[in-house]
Amino acid sequence: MQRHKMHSCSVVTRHTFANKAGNVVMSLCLLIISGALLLSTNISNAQQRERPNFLVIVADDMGYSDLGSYGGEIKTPVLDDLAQQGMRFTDFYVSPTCSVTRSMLLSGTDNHVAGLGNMGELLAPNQVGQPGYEGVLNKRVATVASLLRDSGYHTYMTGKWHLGLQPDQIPHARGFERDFSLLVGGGDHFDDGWNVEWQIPKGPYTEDGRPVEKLPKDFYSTKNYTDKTIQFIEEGRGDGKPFFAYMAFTAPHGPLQVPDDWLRRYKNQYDEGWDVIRTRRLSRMQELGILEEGVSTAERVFFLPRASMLAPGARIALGRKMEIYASMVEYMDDQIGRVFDYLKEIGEYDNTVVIFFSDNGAEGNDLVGMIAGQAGSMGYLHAAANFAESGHNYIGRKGSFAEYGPAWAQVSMAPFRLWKGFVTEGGTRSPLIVSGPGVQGAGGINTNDFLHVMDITPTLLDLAGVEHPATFQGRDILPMQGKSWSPVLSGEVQSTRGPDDWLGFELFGNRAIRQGDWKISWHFQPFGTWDWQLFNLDADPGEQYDLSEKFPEKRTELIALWDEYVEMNGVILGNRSPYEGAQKALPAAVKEDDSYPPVRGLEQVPHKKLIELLSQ
Amino acid sequence: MKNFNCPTRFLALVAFVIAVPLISGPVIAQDDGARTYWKGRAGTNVMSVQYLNMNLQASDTLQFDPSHYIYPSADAEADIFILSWARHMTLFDRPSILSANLMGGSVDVKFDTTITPPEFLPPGVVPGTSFSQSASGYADPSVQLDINLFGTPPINAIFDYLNYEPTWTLDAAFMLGVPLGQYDNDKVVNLGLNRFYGRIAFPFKYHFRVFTPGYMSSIELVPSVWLFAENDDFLGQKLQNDPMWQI
Repeated sequence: MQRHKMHSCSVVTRHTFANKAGNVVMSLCLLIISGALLLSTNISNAQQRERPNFLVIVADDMGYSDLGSYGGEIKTPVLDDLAQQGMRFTDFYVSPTCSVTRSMLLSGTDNHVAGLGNMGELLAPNQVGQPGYEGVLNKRVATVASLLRDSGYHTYMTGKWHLGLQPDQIPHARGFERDFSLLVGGGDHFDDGWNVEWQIPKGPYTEDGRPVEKLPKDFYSTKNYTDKTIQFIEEGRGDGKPFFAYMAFTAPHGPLQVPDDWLRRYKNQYDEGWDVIRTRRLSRMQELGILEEGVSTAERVFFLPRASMLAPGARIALGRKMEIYASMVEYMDDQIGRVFDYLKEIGEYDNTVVIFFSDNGAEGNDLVGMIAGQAGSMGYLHAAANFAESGHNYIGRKGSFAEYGPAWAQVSMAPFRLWKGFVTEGGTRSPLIVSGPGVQGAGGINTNDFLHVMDITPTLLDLAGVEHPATFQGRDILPMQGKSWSPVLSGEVQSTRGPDDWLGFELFGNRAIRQGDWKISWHFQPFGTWDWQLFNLDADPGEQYDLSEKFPEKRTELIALWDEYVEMNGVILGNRSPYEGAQKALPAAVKEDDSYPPVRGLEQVPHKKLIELLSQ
Repeated sequence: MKNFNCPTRFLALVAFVIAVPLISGPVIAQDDGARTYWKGRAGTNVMSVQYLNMNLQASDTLQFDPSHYIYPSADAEADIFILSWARHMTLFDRPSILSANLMGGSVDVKFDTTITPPEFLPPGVVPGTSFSQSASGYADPSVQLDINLFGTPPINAIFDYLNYEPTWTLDAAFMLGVPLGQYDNDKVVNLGLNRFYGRIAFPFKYHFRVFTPGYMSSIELVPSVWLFAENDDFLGQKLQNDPMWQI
């Protein structure tokens, strides 16, 4: 459009200097040129319209099996419908934590080169100041928002940024025309806006690049991000440009909070405990085709008790946390439905590619403990003062900080092992739904491909017809490492990656390589062995059987790929890790005892049989 | 017009916040009994023992209600114990509470009849003489059955209690006092009433805010009617009372 205006201006200038006789000729020329310009503009608008809109929706800390379309009991009708219209993928990978995933999502390349080699909050001493370890999205990459904006897209962002706080690091400076963003990694979902980190006690929000002084009194993160997304699209749609909207929900990240009228939607639905709920999910996953029958699934982590060993009151108290989590997920689904309804109303839904996924595995860590620290520290005092309410009937409301803990995180991540923070499948596997124009195989489930979050930028650029440049705003930028999904979405091929392609992962010193069905991983004890373990994910998605001794060549082969990964991305293993002391800090293993709880006068049913019976 | 700047307003607010607790006293609900319509887990027994020492002295006849008379220079001293027991249970599948109260102790009352107008003297008291009476022993024991009508599920186990988040509840409570306490038919001051009495009440609670310690708030209304049998030996006369309505 800009170019067209300049042409018109030059024609008018020439017209001013034309003689009277020439005016007629010039008028004719003008008419022809104007007609040509009009035609050109129409073609350009038509081309613009042909380009799809993009709506990328990211849940925060949501588990693999939470959605109904992935086997969960949580009511997610909107996303389930989306799955029926589009495609589900079973082997989609993200990073074990949020900011790291977001750096790859927006840059299309590996986190170790994009600036998030480690989370900014948890950099190890030997990583500080090193390239790729800036702790923010660095300038060696251009964001997909910048590239799409420069190619004629409107670019909007709402929700969690977590990729830098400085003026040149915030969404507005990294390609988003409009934004309503929480710059840090999380915090109170209501207008209190408390952050867990005492150094930044209130979560800083920006709107269109400017600080938000005060949140509205009725603020609730998921609702307000939705409102803003709709508002941005509505205010920008007059010029016919397509849009790229990035909805980075902060739900269901802790603190588990939801508006009061949603608090009890799942009342008592989790009283049976994690074993029964997880068994039901696994069964539904098999029915849906998300999980193959006969494959291994992860065992309960050693320090977690059987739910049946707990007193009923304890199960209710712990179940309530999962109730609130489920409400948060359903609320998010409901709000996504509002965006879809709006897009249908303005006639843009059918021209919008929607991508939905979660940023990492479900949260099984003690977030407050990890970030706020020990009793007596400033962080602890800050958290204790502002998230003080923890009563059974209070949690889920403003001022409370509840997390649902590792036992429920394992349910959310069924059938996988562990949760957020680890490079096990439980930390890195996410549901992925892609729907929209050109996506073939409606309602299908792709179990052949293995995809990565850094594929999203190349996919969007591909669908928009935009080349990834070698330089951006006068500086060299790194090439993308992700691969476009276009051939898979159009049904040309079944897999983005071939048998020789591989993916690497590293965070907090935990590391892994996946190639085909094979995976090696290295974890700190007691979650791993402080050595490489080899798994075959086809038969063992639960990562239960270390095949290192049986297939030593394969292990060696994958370790060589790890070395290549380190070399290629400048990976610096930290000399400190949040998990280095886990061996001593974690509770002892819970004794598995089939005679407990005692059953007087009845035959004792073995635990596994009991769970099978209860889950039917 | 005087403008107050922010620091002044802040100081005024601080002064107000400090002053309020200094000039306020605790607000104690009047005549609400033991509030034994609050629910607990079935099978829970609650016992309480209270001791009260009261020394009341009147120095004037001022009163809020002109129909009441305060005897000048009256002196009343009482040592009272109250023994209460309540059992939470389920009756007809409704949460219920059976409670019993036993009171006892001693009461001494003295006042000067020479300055008391004759029309305000108690029956049998001769003007111009000093009045002094005392009583000791047990008062009439009472039992009450409270049963929930609406708003509260049976609370039979700890998980029922964990799931209990009341909004509003309506109960029916029936209390009966039995004339077993100390009574002397030639005295005005007694601990027993020498007659049956009872109360029918419909305790109503509306809970708002969060049902958790520190946040629980409720509005409670107990509309009730007191019923009294006849005392056929009150200083040789019969004493009758009409039903007494109360909220």
